[in-house]
Amino acid sequence: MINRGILIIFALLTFACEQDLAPISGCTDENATNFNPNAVTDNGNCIYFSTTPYTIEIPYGFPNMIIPKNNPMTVEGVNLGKKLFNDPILSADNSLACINCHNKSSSFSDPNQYSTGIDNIQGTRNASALVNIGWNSSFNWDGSAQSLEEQAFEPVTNPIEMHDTWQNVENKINANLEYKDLFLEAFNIDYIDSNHIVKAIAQFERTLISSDSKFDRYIRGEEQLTPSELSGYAIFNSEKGDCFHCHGSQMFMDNRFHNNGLDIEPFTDLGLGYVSENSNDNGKFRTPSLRNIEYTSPYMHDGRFISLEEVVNHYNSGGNYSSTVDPLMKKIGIGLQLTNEEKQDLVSFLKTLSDENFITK
Amino acid sequence: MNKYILIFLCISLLFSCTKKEGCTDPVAINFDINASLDDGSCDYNNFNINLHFTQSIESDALIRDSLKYLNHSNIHYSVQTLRYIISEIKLHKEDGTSKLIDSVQFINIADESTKKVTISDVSDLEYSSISFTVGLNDSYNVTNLFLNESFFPSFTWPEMLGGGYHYMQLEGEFQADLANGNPSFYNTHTGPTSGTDFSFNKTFPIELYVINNQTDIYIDMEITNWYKNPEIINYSSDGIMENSSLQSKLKENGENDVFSVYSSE
Repeated sequence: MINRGILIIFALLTFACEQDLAPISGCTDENATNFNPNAVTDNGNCIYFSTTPYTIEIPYGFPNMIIPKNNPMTVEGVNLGKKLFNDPILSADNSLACINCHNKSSSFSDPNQYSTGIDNIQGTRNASALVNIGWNSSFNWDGSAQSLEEQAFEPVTNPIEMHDTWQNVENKINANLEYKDLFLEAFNIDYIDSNHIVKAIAQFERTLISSDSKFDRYIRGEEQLTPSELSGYAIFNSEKGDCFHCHGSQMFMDNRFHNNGLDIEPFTDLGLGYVSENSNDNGKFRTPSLRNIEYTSPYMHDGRFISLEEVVNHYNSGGNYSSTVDPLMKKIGIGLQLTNEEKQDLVSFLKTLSDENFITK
Repeated sequence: MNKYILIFLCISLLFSCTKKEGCTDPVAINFDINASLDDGSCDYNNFNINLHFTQSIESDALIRDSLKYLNHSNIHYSVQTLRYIISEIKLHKEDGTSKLIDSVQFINIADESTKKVTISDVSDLEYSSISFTVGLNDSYNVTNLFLNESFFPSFTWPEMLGGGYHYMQLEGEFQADLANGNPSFYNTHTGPTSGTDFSFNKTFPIELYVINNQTDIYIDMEITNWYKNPEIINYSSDGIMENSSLQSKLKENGENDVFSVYSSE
């Protein structure tokens, strides 16, 4: 009798700190989608969802890319995003895709000054190039979006762009069996919502990396620059041209906003000031990367300049004074006073930032 | 015999899930010798040091974007941009030992969050001086060394001008006659011109007054003094990043009386 009592107490002692005395049967593998944390014995019915991680290779001289924790890069997500980027299904009349205003051959920008929406209405800004934007800390010329996911929400419903509703887009995509499969593979979801549509597009956009221009090959010691390109490089990186303060480092941008003296007040486009509602920000716009600049004509937020020569001429003339012009435009009204040859050298250097594989492969 | 085992096991069962909670660290002032499970309540009587980076003109707090200031030769000027690096901030004791409290601090007057840094859990009151480097010294100032810091890429100092990063970007407008035309811009950018190390170290005595586990130390920059003591420097719209002679003068002025440190009682 006592011996049996001892046995029982031993048994109790063993389980004294366990929460459940009766073993629950279920999937005990934490990696499974139906993992049951209370299950003690495995019932052999674990279901697995697996994706292939997509690794971003950080180019020389670039910082780490900050990827949102709730949208990790996967091969499935990137491929899905690419398909969505190219699919007019996102627009109300199924006629306009992201790629139509962000042409690959233009480094994912629009060669037209203003893009035309599905209702034949034009915007007032030039569609930004999408190159190395995974390193941007804000998006759009005026910084109105803080992440690629947030940015992708906007064009779909903008009346002068795709002019659709997210409910309609969700309906169309959920009715498409191919997309049903692809979203299940990429995100393990049965109902496709707008959040996952923009997540996939953002994943694809983070892969639009350019780091194999002639300039990169020069930095790696694989190719020489011509004397004219080297002269332009020196002008760019000294206060003679003073391009590097905003377009410095291997990124060729500074993740900041500036008024570069394009216009006098009052400004027709307030830029950052429109978003921040701070008049000190009026006329300021995001610095674009100069990578692939040869392919992204026209230039400036409103596409006012067709050629790089016009852009250089703007800085060379010094630009216009206004109350928000950036102090870095220190030769305002005086100009850089470059000779014609120096201006040509600067343009030659800018063209070394062209990455042909980026727009063709 | 078996009865005793039974009783012993019953008692074991009672205590098998109970441990006394409390502070288990003998160094803490509320160490509980009976506690076997730490409950996070340990109190070390430690304190926080709040390092404040302040900027003034003629001893008053800087007002940004205002052309109300007059320099040594009666030129109106404003400060629009002021961004700088203070590195290797250390506290020192009389016995020669020191504690590194912040290796690189980037201060941008447009961003309040960069103007204060808190060093928590300091346990020692015996610090008698503070030292820091204005800018980045040669061993730190290397191209691509700080790729993931907030001052990258905008503080980049081009490789062909010496490489690494700016120490300071101090920019604004200047104008002789406010009623006549538009102002001009000055860019006082300091850094490793031609690869020369123009950073400098400053050391100041301090006394730490701890109130409610907090102590405040202020590192102030008197902006005007960059331009006048002892070397007179006039505003110009010419860049100075390749001007070693001006960099040298700015360093001399900077070492002289641009910075001061005080702690609050």
